[in-house]
Amino acid sequence: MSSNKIVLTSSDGESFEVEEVVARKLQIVGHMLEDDCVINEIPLQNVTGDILSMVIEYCKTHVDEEESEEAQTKLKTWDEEFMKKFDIKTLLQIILAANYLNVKGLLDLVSQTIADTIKDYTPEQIREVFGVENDYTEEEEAEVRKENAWAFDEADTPKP
Amino acid sequence: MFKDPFKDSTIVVALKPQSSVDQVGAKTMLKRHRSRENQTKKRLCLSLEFLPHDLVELILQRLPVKPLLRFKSVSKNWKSTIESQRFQEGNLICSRQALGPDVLLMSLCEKGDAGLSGHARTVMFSLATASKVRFPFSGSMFCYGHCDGLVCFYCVYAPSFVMNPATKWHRSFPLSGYQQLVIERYNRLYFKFISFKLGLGRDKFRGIYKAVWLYSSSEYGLDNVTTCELFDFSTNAWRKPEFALLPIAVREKKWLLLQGRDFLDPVVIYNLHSKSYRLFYKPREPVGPVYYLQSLFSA
Repeated sequence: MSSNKIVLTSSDGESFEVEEVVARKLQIVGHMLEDDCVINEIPLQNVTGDILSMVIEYCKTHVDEEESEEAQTKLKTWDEEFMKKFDIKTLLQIILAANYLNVKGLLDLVSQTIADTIKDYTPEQIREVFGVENDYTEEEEAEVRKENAWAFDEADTPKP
Repeated sequence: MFKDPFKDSTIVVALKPQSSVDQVGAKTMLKRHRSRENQTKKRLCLSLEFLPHDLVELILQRLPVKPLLRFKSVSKNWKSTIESQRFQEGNLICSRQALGPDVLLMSLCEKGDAGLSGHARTVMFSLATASKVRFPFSGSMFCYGHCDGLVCFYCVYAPSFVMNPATKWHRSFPLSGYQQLVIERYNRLYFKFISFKLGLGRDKFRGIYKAVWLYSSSEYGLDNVTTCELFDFSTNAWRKPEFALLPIAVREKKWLLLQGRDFLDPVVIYNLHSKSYRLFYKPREPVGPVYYLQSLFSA
């Protein structure tokens, strides 16, 4: 059963053949497989090939999560290195994918990584990266900033 | 053929438009964004227009206080998210899991800093971060421990302050009956008195914060009982609850630890469900107010 192969297809037509145990880490796939049907190919319309390949890489590494402290530390180091590869835009696409494919561990990891990345951003940078519309009037924004003035102390220098 | 559960899943998968349609949608999105911002952006990540707000919240939950305060000025929606009680409770849980207790150490006063307006104190929020916070008041005592990161300063002769050193939010609350009694005696040149301590806790049932004085009024020429004064931040007033027994702590939701009004009274456990009492501890000599340190009101 565990040697069963499953093909996952991305929105742009890229196919990935993975072990069933790996595919099951995507809970969306797990639910599909639950009723014992023989399914060999699963189309995933909301994920592009390049993002899906990253998710699969994560799932392969996390396929057998051992309890031992040593294994946990090793995994944690791997997670950190893995996340370092991505810029903020890619991270945001991964969080969308992790949410859609329902990979709990990756969702936690990537949301923490995004939080760590954006914590020194200015509100302007946040608006640009997240595509948020500024719906304050100039006066309202000045007022909100004034209320929390100290939080702007050392963070007004934009980071590249 | 597929059975029902899988059919449901395929519906979910098929909800989003096909890729060709997707591109058209993305282009209109791009136009709209440009006209709205009235400026050209070099690069726009199209998919981010779709980042659902619950995912934004998931990310924000993991941020420390300072960036959260800053990001209130991103948009009205972000501000109301960050200020909502549900979000703040989630954020508290997240930061506890990640960093452990949020306020670990606080210095009572800093050397060579007297005479300025307010007192600087070093606050250590977790093992990782220490910062110097200037307090706009100079209470000489503070409540032991903290309650969800709130610390409470007080001195007997002046109004007390409760403050969140992480956000620098603070407010004062007025003198209690006990403090007025002490001041009155002080003015009549009675300097000898037992100094009682103020406690700060969260009312589990109503989700609000309260400050509590518990003292023996016999010291003040009143009847020989223990008096409890409670400040309710939601009503902004002190009141003296008429307990036959004083609640000390709530344990496991249905147990209430109670102490008699006299210091020699036993401490009993009250079962909120069966409304029955059970003896917990019988003092052999006067013990003073009993503090249940593990959890005073809050968990």
